[in-house]
Amino acid sequence: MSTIAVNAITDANGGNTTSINNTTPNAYNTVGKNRIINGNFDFWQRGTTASYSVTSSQYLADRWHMRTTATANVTISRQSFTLGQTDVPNNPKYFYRWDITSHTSGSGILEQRIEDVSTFAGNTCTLSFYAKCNTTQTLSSTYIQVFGTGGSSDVTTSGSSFSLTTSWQKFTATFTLPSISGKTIAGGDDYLNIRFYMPDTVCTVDLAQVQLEAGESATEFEHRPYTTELQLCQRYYFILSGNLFSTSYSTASLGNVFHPVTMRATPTYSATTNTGGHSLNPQGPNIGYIYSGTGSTSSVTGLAGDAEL
Amino acid sequence: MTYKLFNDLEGNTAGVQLLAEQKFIPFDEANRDYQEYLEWLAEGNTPEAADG
Repeated sequence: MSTIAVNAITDANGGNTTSINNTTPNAYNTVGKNRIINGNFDFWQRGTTASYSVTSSQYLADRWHMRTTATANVTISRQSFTLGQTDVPNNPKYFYRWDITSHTSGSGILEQRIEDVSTFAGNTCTLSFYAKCNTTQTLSSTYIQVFGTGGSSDVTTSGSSFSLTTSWQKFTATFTLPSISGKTIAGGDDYLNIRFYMPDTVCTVDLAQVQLEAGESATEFEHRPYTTELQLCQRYYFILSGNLFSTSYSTASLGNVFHPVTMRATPTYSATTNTGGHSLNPQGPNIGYIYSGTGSTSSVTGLAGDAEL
Repeated sequence: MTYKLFNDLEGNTAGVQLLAEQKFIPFDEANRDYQEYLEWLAEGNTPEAADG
């Protein structure tokens, strides 16, 4: 085995932009370049399909917030790619489907709220994704800097419109976000919002491999390790599938809850089943407990913590 | 929409429960459910008292 110890690697023309396996190392293609979480739509902890009518505001696919300000019926679902397909490269498993089954008026919004409003502030970044629709339609976008509760007013940057066809296409948009100089951030709930406006008509829109990265060009979609991506999702939402038990003592019962990862904020707790009437007490970003003053030892099933933006 | 306060083990108010959805919401300014509760309070509403 040999060791190379040099101060710089230069390309044949003398510059310091030499490539390794056709990739030029730079600040933009390192691990974590994609600021979108679950851009590959691998994680659906809340479920893989749901239907909404009229005005809704929900999360289904992890980190993806859907909102309708419409008189419309929308079904969201996880769809599987055919094994071996090459329309969307590198063998993604799933894509996101937004199916507008009826529409009278208004808009549908799909957005990802990226924690920390300073994300790419004052810098150029590039959004890329694959999309198609069952009819020719336009998907538009906008980018909103939200400074948190009690912070400065939102700042909106106009985005691009994308002409969808019935075939998968890769779309890119490069834009510069305003500086946050002079702004006030407050509340601990500031974020950068990457927002898509769905077509205002009956149609079926499919999305895959969404990426937001620094720089003026779209690079290959970043495939992070499965566990890493799940943990990124769990900073905002987790569900403990299975039964959680409390231990009885005297006339009460108590059980600890340990979150899979430290969450963005103290989460809201809920449960799929809580027949014992336990109080679900979130205590902080990484711990909480279930408690019954009557000593119930019935299990709590599907305890979930939600600290989404 | 109705909210009800809930206590921790020591009997101190720990958060508020959204009864319709059985959500237990902490008093954390960064929690979006808590922000919705504050808006509900600002409309002049009052939560139910916690169980004794």
